[in-house]
Amino acid sequence: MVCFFDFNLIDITASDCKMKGFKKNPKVVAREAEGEYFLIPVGENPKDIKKILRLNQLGWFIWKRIDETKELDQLVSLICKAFDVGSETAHRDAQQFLRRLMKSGALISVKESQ
Amino acid sequence: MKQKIRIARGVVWHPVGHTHWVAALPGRDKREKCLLLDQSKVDFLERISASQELPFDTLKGPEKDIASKWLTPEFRLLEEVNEGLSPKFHERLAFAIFEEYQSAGRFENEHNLALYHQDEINDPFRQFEQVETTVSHLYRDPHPALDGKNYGTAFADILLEAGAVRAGHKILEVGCGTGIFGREFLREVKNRMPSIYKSLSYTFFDASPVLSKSQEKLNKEHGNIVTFVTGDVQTHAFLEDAFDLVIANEMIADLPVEKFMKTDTNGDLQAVEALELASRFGLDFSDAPPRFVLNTGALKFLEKIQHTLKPKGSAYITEYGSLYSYAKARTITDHTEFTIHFGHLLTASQGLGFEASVQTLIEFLHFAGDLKVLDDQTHHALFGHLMPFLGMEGDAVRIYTQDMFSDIYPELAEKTRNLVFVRLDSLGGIIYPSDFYSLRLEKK
Repeated sequence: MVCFFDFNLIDITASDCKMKGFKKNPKVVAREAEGEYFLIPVGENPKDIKKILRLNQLGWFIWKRIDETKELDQLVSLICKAFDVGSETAHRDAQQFLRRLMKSGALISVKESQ
Repeated sequence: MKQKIRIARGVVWHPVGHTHWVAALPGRDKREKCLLLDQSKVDFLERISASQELPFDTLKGPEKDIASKWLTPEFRLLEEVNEGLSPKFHERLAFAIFEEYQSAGRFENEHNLALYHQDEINDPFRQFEQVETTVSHLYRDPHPALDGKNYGTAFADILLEAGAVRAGHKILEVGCGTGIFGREFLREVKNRMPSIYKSLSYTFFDASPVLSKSQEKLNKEHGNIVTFVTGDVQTHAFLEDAFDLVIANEMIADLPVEKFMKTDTNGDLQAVEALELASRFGLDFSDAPPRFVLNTGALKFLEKIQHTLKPKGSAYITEYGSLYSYAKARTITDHTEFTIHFGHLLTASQGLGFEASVQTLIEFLHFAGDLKVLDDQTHHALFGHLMPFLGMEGDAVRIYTQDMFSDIYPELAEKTRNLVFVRLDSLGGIIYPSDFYSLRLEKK
């Protein structure tokens, strides 16, 4: 069983954290529809659609940049520029959001997926 | 504990003789869909119907037993009221994505769509009345939903008002069905703009030789302004800058689709052809399920239009689909078609240099969305089961308002109970305009 709270795999509280420890779950579909943003798990059975995440603009912004961002600080810097917020707020929001993604299974640890 | 019960959607009942009634249920499966009921049971049905919803626990003795029986899948005369179970937008979206994923899974066993339309259509009217009913066929006669016009007439009016049909124009219709749409389109141009009509050239282009013959037969009245060509739109060598207007009405779902996988462990797109298509049409597949179906035939058709349309020429494409959903399989009697991702088509059109826009078909043709029409489930129960049981013949390939139904079937309108009429725009599915879109292109 995947433990989404295993912060030994990735310490996202550290400012210099590497964002290499997790990746997007390939079975989670990110879709923009009717002006809203969703992360939706998909599988062989309709019951696989267990938990749908509705993202706000910041959440969508982060999700779209997870693949291309190597460091949390790099992501924080992008958020600061796009949303005109301070780095402390951006850091806190990004951290909380990434934790939620891991908890929901939208992000999985690289080790677990291998 | 059962909460509230009501009459199951679509169920109707009608008297037979003096003492009994027959109840008909919707559905297309082969199970028995008519039940004979005595007066006391119908009184009970009427009581539930009158109260709309009845708390199950208020029922006593035999009525409770009857209701329990009627709630079972075997009878389905009643259903439980599941308040709060009406799917919300995100739940519908989640199910749509599940369908997209599943559609790619069942892909291997489907028919070759191009060959199906080329070789397997034997009877034009049977095709559109029993196999694959289209919106344009449902509205082939004047209808209050289109302000008293038929589909082809309404289509012509919109294009005339948009200035898309002018003197000397060469028009290409691709995938022309029985030929009724083109005939009515041209009749309207003739009525409104006789001088323009005389100067037009209208080409009916179809994959099916049988449908081509039907188009020719139905369009003799249009004399030498019409031409009929049988061919495969994917391979046909259309001349460059040849047409001022291209119409593809409810055709592009017949074009081929391809299945792709997000094959690597990161979920990144690896299939070479999918990457090539993404680049060629400016598409982004990052929002696709792990496996998905692309409307490749429809996308390549846009390139054909780009090639054969004159500068400033326009094209109008209508089909069943969605603005944000990948192709989903829809089984239509004897073959499977795939819904259209109009978001992809819009992006691809703009990438090809078109001025492009998408509207719902309801907006495009000015359908009266608030018009009350016979509910689809009631329609199934009536035309599929009650009328055959009563030995009556009826035209099921039509959308009925209450007045139309009363005029054509006065006895049914008077005696059948629980006839339900709903807003036209509340009905969804492959024959209702709510789920259709219209893509307008203009070549710069």
